Amino acid sequence: MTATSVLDADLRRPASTPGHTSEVRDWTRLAAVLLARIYRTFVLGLVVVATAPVAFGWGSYVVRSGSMEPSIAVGDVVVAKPWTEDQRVRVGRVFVYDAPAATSPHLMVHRIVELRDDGDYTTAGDANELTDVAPLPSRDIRATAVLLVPHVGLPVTWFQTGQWLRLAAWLLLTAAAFALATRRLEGEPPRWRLLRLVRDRFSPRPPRGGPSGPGGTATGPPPRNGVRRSRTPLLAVASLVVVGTLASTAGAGFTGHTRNSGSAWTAGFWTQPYVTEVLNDQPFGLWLLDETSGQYASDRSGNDRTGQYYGHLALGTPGALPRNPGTAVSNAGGRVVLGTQPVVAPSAYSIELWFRTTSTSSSHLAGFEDDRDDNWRGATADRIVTMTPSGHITFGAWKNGGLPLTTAASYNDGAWHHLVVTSTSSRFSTVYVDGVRVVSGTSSYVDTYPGYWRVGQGSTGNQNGFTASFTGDLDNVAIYHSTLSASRVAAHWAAR
Amino acid sequence: MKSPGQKTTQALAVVATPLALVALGASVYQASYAAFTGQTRNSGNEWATGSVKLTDDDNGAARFRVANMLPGDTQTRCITVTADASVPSTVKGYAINPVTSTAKLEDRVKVTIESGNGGSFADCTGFTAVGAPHVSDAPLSSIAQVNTFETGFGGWAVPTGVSSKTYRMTWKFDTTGMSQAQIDAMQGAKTGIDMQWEMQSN
Repeated sequence: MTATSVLDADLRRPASTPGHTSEVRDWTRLAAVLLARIYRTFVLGLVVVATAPVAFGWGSYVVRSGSMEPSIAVGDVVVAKPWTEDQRVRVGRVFVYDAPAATSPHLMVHRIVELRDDGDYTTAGDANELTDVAPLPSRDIRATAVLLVPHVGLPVTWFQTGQWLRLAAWLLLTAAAFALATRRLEGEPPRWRLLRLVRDRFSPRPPRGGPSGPGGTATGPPPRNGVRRSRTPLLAVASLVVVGTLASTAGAGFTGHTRNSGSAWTAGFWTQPYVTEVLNDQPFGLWLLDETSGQYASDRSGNDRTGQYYGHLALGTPGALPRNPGTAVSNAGGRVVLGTQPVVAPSAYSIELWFRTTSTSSSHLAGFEDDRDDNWRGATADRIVTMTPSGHITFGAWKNGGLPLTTAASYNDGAWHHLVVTSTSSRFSTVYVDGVRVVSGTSSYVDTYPGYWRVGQGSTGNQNGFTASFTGDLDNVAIYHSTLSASRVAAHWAAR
Repeated sequence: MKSPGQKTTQALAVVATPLALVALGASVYQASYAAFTGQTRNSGNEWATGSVKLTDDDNGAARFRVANMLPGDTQTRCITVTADASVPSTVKGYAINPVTSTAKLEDRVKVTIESGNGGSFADCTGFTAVGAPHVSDAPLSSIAQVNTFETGFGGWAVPTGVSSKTYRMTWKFDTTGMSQAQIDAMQGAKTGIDMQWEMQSN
């Protein structure tokens, strides 16, 4: 019986299978044709929506790149209304514009994100982290984006970027789908009158008796002819390709930028106008105090009166003169003795220096003394400039009951000051601060003896048993064995 | 299973085309609405996968801050620019915000810009130049004319992914051919410039 069963099975199968396969085939065919028709309608509809506005003078732009993602993807078509100067630009909307500052003109689709102060606009791609660098002047705006037709421009981008495989695959698929869509379904009247007209034109057969009415009561299906049928979809696809090649494109390029800001170059000062002015007055010595190390202070006057640094002081602090490079001495209990050999005290002389201090104790700025020590209380000393605890400058306080000249103003304000004290052989002395005479008159009697000019520390009076030092910065010391005129002092100040 | 009847077929055929048109309309409307009615663009960290990023390693510091520059002075420094591109792009450098001086100091600060590998903002050690210099002994005033992406120097083709390039910049204060009076007239003058690198997708 086994054989019978097998036989039964064999018998049953041929009986049932043909019916079953034909059902599946019918359904498959129906689904395929319907899907193809939906696809055809969809594609043609997209093409119509994307291109029809051109007839009204609008523009259609295939988007080439993806900086507007996710709202606009590569291959979408932007339908845009022409923009004229009298229209308002709404910040936040998407516009088509000529890429600014581009040597090769091309169109861009980006969003306007800001109206700038100068009337231009700032644009940005939605997918760009930063806004575009070049501002967009309103005259470069071409159109306002109105409609977005998705995907329909993809074949154009494939064509332009040379993605031939994709393009060919799409063309084949579309041609096949269009061919399939023209298949008549069972019981369906022929309805595509225009297509049939076109078909009939290209048909080798003589045209039929005329198109049937819209209701369609055609007399039976037309004979199936694969060659003839394939022409319509081919034509449709060909016209799509033509439309595609006519399409204009607009880029939505990605941009990013980075910046290194604030590089600056400031030329220094290499001439020393102050030095030139001082040397014009033939100083006894000029010590710029520009050394940054060592114990000797060179004499710029050419008289070879090398000075020497003693005690607690720091070299190389920022100098006093803005247009004359050089450093200063920060003094805290040290001194500079100006010259290694004693000289005879001059009868007419001038003392010039720059100081900066906030000190509130008695200070010794400069003076003449018969020794180089720090605290020789029996020293013979005069021609001494001191500062009072309140910051007033005093000249002539070296004799008991002498004739001191004291400035009305105080100068311990932490700023650099230019101090010049001049004295004639008849002891008429003048104190200049910052180029201007502040006090003058006959000052105390002076002795004649060999000694040293010194700054920063020394006796405050002739054999009075007291010494003081200056706490602060000192710079550019000059000594003259002559009396500087007010105009020369002003010239020195002006050359600072 | 039955084969589709004539009625079913007809009904489906009639429905198919309007269905497609409705879908078409909906998709165009949806896409247009999403793209063209939004008033703001993405912000924060939601950048699309396609975005490009260009950064440098200056941490906000100016590359050159030269004070008290004297004739003949020179200095060489580096800066590394890193591109993170999801699409092939081009990076170019150019100058913005030039600061001019009445003494024309910008004509006398001459700059050479090379690019290559190695080195960083902090330290140029290890830099090796690739190719010819982008500019050679060009005064700042002429570099200031290169102020757009289109005219920018470099043209560094960035492939997809992260890549870096180091730019080595050398300046010198060149007073060759000037009289001492002309040189002295430049004392205290100040000039400056900002450098910008821009990346655009190809």
